[in-house]
Amino acid sequence: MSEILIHTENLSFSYTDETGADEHPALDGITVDIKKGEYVAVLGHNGSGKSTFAKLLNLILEPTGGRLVIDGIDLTDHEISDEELLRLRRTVGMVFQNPDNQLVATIVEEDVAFGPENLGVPQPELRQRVDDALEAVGMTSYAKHEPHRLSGGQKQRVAIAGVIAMMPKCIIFDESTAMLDPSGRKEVLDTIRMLNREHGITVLNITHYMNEAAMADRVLVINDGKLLLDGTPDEVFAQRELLCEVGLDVPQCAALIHELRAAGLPVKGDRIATTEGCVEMLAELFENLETR
Amino acid sequence: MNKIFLENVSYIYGEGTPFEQKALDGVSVGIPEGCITGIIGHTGSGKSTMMQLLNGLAVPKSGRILLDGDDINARLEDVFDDWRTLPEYCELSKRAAKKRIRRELAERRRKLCFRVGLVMQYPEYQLFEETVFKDIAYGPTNMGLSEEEIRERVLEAARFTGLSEDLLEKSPFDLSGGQKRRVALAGVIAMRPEVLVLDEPAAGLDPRGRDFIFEGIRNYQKCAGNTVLIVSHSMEDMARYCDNMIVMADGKILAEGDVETVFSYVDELSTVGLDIPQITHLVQLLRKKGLLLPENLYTVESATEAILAKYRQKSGKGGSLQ
Amino acid sequence: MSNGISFGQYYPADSLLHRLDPRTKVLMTVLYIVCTFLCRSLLSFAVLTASAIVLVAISRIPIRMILSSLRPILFIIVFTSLINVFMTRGEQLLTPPEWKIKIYAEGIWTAFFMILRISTLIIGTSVFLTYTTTPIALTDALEALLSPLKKIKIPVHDFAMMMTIALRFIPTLSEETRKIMNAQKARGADFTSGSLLRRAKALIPILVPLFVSAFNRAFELAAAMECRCYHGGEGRTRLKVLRFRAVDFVMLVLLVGVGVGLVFLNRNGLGYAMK
Repeated sequence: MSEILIHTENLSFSYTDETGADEHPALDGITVDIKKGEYVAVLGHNGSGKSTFAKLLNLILEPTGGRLVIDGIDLTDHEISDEELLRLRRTVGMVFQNPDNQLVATIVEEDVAFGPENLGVPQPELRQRVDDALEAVGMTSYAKHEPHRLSGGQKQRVAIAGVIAMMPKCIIFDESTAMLDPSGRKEVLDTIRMLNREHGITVLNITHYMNEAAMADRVLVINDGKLLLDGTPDEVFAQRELLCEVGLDVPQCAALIHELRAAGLPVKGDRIATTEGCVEMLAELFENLETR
Repeated sequence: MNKIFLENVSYIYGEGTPFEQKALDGVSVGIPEGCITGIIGHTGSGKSTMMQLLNGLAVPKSGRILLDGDDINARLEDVFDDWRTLPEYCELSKRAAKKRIRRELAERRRKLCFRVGLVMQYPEYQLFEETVFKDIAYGPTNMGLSEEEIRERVLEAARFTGLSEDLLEKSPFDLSGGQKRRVALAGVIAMRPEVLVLDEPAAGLDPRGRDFIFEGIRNYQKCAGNTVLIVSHSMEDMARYCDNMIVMADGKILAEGDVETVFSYVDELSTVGLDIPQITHLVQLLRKKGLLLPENLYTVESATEAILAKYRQKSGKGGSLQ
Repeated sequence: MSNGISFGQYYPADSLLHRLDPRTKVLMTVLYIVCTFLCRSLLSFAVLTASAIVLVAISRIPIRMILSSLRPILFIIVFTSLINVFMTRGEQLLTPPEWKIKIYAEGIWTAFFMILRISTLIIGTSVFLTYTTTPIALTDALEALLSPLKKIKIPVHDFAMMMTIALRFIPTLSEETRKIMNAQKARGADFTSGSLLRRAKALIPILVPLFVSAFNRAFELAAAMECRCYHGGEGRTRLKVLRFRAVDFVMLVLLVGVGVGLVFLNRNGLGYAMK
């Protein structure tokens, strides 16, 4: 049994407007367990509450109800001390959407050092961490560059390096690919997968791209602040109608299989989340036809 | 019929600095009138430069851009001899004619942005007015239209982009991301441009927001019959919404033509780092496994039909053999 | 693509000046400014100019960039030298005595020295600070040099942090301004014609989006900084540890030497000497 890193129970959050009279529930009773080393995608349309969920896990927002336990520490049953908050943020790192708005320093390596500097990591360990982090995201040769001259994908990789230099157990990507072009998105997704597979970092990728969700081990679908679906990509993308109803979609390949089944073709199997899975299912369909 | 024609156009960024970069390299291409044309290319391929050239925000280093046959950056000496023979100018003295022509050219340049409407990437950052209505009205007001005309155009643009009337009196800053995007789009549509140019109109939007935007664009194009130009990275969206496509790489045109023609160059497209639609990739893989499907399938609908047809054909044959 | 702000932009290169401790460079800048004001004679100005040339040479910064840093203050140079030419009274009158405008040789000399003084001053500061020192290193140096002020409760670290962020966002915001201007131009905005009031009004469509976006950026940046455990200057370590090396002392001593030398050179004035 692998250990549970993040445990939420009925986790809720409501925004109150200026007058304090009106409450808008943004997140409404999410109960979920995320294990160490998992790669989880959180899907939802804009305004579904998926970003609120991410911000709660890092206590950028404070939950207004429910329980939140991260790495064995209950964060909702007592007043959080500054030390606990620092410890939490070291455990759960966060990469945001806009690459420009999260880089603090004017030189790449100094930006990567920002987190560990704040933690008071002494030299020479600090130097080592920065070098390792840049190496991990493949940005070593840009160590002395200015961030504003980099491409979007490169900036986002620098931001990721800044988070891994704090040696977190989990990284939350809050729509970190939404503003990137396809090649930038691929750079970032490759980096995310590598961090998960090779460094064992738990990944939560908040996204509204179906193809990104297909790469995860597990997909959570959030709609109207509630957990709508929770399963493997194959299981989730089998629910095409439900997804479309809440303003989402399925990858093209999954859509194809759904269409073919609707037209009466006996396509067997359930690996509809990836291109490879769909190809196999279709190849099998035609093979069966020939050997009949 | 070409609405716009680019004739051997070149453009260089930051000439003479260490960051000098050739953005367009002798591009010649036509944009057909009355349909949706997609320009595809990866970042730095020159596609965004091209759209800034089209409405005069940037001026080409060399070459000409023709809108309805007229050079949009024409200078006095380029047109003087031709125009002198026109009835409005032939009776004037040479000096007076020069003056008139110069004024006319300046006026045309000023009005160019109303003829070629440009919707930038992430256009929601351009919103600034107190209400959505006023913001959409900004362009038409700059055109110097009457209040009634402005009102009519704003309401029309709001309809095209699916903005309900109760939104018009709200502050644009209170809207959702997708709604803001549509307000910005309406702000350009309200100028009734002959050519509507959009840079990554769906960037960062969720599937529903993306569909709303593209439906709005298509809707507008169908009703107004105008020329629309969409710049994008997404082959999937382009395959779905465009009639024609231009593929750019390294400041040059790689392929152009209707969507089917362009998708028949699938292999070349992948070599310049463009993401081919997932469905096209799937069909390629199936072909490699020996299933003879047509090569240029790029939408879920066409692939579904092709596979169904194949299945019926094969099962039919199988049946007759038994 | 690239923005036009060359003032205050670090130029990456590997030179002696780039490697100096930023604190040394701040001190040297102060010393250098003092030196420019010590100069009073042709000889001392010659040495000063020579020292500026040597500095540029060892900094490995293209001459073009140095000259471009002078461009913004060209007006000031021209203006002050003109004032000096026409306003300085002296003994050696150059214009015919019956002219209303009187120009004296002393005026010409003073103007000439003024040009040299201002140019070397700008070259000195840009070579020591803006071009060879990353803004962050500069901020670190100022923070370190001013840290005694912490004892009297002046929040030196916070000011330093603010400065760093401001420097980081200058290129981003200038790019943003350009984008917004283009977007509004595409909607027919006209920033160049009409009365002053009209032109000021035309700026609203740029300023409002710019402020909105700057505030959004500020909120996001604050969240990002908190996520990266920022909690003020207390207990922070530094990637770049400032360390005085032998070369720093040598450079400082050298510059002090130049200063003293300038004072002596003022004494045996070859040509004109300023009062």
